[in-house]
Amino acid sequence: MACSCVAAHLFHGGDFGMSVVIQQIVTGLSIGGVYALLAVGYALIYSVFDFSNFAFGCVMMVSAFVAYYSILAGCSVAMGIALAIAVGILFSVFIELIAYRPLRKKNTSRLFLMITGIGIDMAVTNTAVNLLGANYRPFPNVSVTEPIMMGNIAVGKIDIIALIVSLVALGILWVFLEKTKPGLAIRASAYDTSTAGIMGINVNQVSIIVFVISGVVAAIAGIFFGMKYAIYPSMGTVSTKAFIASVIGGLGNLEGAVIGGIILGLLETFVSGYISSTYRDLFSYGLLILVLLFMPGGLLAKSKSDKL
Amino acid sequence: MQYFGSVLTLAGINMIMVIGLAVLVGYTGLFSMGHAGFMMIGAYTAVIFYKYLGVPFAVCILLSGVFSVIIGLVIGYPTMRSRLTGDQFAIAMMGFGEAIRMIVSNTEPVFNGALGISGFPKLTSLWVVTLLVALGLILMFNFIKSAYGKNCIAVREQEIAAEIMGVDIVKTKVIALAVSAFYVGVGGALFAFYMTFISPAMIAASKSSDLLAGVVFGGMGSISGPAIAGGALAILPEILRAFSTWRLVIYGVLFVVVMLFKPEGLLGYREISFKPVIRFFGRLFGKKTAAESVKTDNRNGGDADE
Amino acid sequence: MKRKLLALLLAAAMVLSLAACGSKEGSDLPGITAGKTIKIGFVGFLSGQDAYLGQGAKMALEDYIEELNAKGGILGKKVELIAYDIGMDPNTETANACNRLIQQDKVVAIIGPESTEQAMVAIPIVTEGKVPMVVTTASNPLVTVAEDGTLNKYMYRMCFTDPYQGTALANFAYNDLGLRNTAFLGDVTNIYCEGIQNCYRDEFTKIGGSIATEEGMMASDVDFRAQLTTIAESGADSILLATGSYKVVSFVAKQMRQLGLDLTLLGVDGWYANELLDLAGPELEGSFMTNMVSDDDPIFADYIEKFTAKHPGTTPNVYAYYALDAMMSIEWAINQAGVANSTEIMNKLETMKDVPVFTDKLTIEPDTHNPHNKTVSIIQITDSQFKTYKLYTPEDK
Repeated sequence: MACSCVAAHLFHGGDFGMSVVIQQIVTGLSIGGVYALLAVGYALIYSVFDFSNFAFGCVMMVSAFVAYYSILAGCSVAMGIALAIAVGILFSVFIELIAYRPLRKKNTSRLFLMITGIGIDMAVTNTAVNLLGANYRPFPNVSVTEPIMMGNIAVGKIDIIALIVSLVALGILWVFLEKTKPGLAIRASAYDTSTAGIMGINVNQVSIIVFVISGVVAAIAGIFFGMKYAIYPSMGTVSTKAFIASVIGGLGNLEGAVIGGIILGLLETFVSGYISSTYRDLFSYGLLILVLLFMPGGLLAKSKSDKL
Repeated sequence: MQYFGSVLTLAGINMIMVIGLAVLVGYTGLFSMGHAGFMMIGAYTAVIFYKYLGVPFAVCILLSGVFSVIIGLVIGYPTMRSRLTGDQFAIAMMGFGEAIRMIVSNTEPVFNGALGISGFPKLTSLWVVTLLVALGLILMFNFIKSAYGKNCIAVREQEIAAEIMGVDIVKTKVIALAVSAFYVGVGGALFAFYMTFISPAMIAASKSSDLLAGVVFGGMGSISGPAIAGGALAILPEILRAFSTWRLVIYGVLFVVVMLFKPEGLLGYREISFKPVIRFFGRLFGKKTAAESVKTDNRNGGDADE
Repeated sequence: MKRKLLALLLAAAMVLSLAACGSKEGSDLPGITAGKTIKIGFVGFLSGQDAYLGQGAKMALEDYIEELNAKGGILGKKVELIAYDIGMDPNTETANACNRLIQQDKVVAIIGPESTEQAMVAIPIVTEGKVPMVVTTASNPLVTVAEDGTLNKYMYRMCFTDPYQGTALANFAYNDLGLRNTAFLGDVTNIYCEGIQNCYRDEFTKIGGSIATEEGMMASDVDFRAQLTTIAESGADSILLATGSYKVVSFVAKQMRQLGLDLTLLGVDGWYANELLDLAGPELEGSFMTNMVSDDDPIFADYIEKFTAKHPGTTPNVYAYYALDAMMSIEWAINQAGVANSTEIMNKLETMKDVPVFTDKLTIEPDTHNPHNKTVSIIQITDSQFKTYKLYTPEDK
């Protein structure tokens, strides 16, 4: 159904049909961008510690709320965003120190780390629901609904900003990992955490750096998500999609995470637009299962030595 | 009084589902965030067979378990074979749960879409549920003590070592999933016939977390622990009304606290034993043999008869 | 083996003891007759995401009953409200709450719940307990009339049904707005949405309009641009957005603006939440929706003022108004019957004809237990406010 529709547009849709397809691609990229950013956060931690940080979504939510309340309290938008990133970093590191690190010290199974992550997410999200109310709030003082028209194609201003910022952030991250000493330490730990420890790398320091980065990524994603849609306690659930994206791309693989996010965003948009949005998640999970069955390591499966 | 009966019935249904999930999560170490899907399958199977095909209630309950197992095998075999990691499996199961809900709510002809199915009598009574809880516990204890159950524990503790020792990892995991699917499916059927109305929205995704909470609190690697926790978690909100809004917060905090300080949960790797009770009665009637026979019973893995 | 036997015995003992307790009950009186006080039950969302549905209603009921008791109660008896929350696990809690209200608290009537799902759960319980339930805003026809056409005797409804609303909106769109080609964007896994869409489609195509396309979505979604792009391509002149989630409405409105779409957005009573206007007031400018009341009507002003004075920071909502309607109907029925007995109340409610209640004059259709010819308010969003545009009353068939 999807194929026949797309094909119909391509062959006799003429200008209008073609522009609809392009419009859908733009939308898909804009949705996939958020997934990609968040998926990178998952991939980074997975690459070093071999577990998925399921408390990631609530860091994103908390950061977004910090931005919301600080701007309402009179801060400028830039100040609010800076505060949100700071709190994102602190909260992310706090989770690592209070929950994950003690568990890793005990050498518990990954299952326990996962349950802990889910527990943190449940507790924080529902505390927010109870204390702040489940209402949806618009991102204050930022109006982004006006589109930029490129011919027939409407591109949201916020999408362009989000794209640029995400690319810059990912670029900085790449330079950091490839060109700096701490980056080298992270890559070494990703290769083999215990050997890296023996070789004199302070794994505890590496973990802090990794969680700092993940906090920054979560905060940026939370702010953009809030600007695009709204800020609400359960907004962290979008990180489930990001997790799927990171699995599709290859757990623990940064390029894979970005590509997985974009693919998922495009898939969702085309399924919603041409088949039925009701079955959209069926396709997402279906793709996940297919990838896992035929490429267990994800699309960009690499040998262990090439992680990151 | 009927009110307490009603709460106890729901607690019993929850117990059945939680002990089912305990095999998968607690014993085999596979985390599932989508067992509400099996509950849905069980509920709809029983209702459809009863309402449209006139199958007797008892058979419907059995069929709901069987259907859940079949679906469990269909999704279980490929996922287990492709060796998903714990987190991948958890997400895959979540996808499964969502998929079931989507399919049921979008299928008009048999499932009646979002409207759900009503117009069947209330056949789940406290009697039925109590009987099934007892039966379920007995069967589960036997399963755990069997070679299959021991394989499950081996897989949880050291997958690679278990494989070297000749344990068929895929088979063990699939069996654990099938057993859990059976219990949760039966629980779903009982739930439907208690509510006398079933719709996709009634079995929300949060049901999966509720079941998980029972297993985690009760003890990873115990059956009686999750059984008690499962029952208690269903009754507690009724006793503490104020508790209800903060329930998920408390669950979440307890998840973390339990993992950090007592990862083995309420009862840990132990089971509630009736030994002291029997010993007490033994002493009371001066029959030393009773206590002793239980001791040997335990050593033989609990299956030996007198 | 002994252990297992013991386990079985213990289980059996537990069942027997409970069964013994259970058998003490069992009087053959029809329903429940009030003792010293007349107890009325309330079942609704008081906590969680949907707490706004029940909290206002509970406050309104408590205020009303306080006044009523100050005036001497009903038939000289004091009235007591017993409210239970179903916000955590709505269906299970509704079953428990109804059982508790009937078996333990001995209420003569129950008000609520707000949604169809929970009302459906309650039907067998209240029927068995012979206690009438007056639902406030559960709008699916099945609540009062079962699939096979039999009347659920103990169920009554205060609001209009989904078909009624869908039909009214279709007529308004065709005749008053001149719309001819509507696209649907809705969550078909939601009973409420499905009911309205079906009736809108039937009516709209009957009077000459057409449905451009039917796009699906899920209430948990945040991005609808894919569907909106498809709708734009379909050549529709309007979009029916039948949803009970104001969040969805705000996202759709914003994303329509983002895509540069200028179609008439048609909505339903599920939109009605003040938060909606904070989120997307300007984007929704000019949209139309149906609603159960027009509370910008001056006749509500006094009440709203009084309510807000007593409960600072809150404003009453449609759920509160309908709870009051339910309470007044029950009060009327008790007075008519001369005795506060649940079966009598059930019988009398059926005979309501032009009885003044809080929102309007109420007539109950005896064959459906629905209100007769309820007025539908058509509301337009102007200057980020809900403004009554037109009142729509169907003619007698």
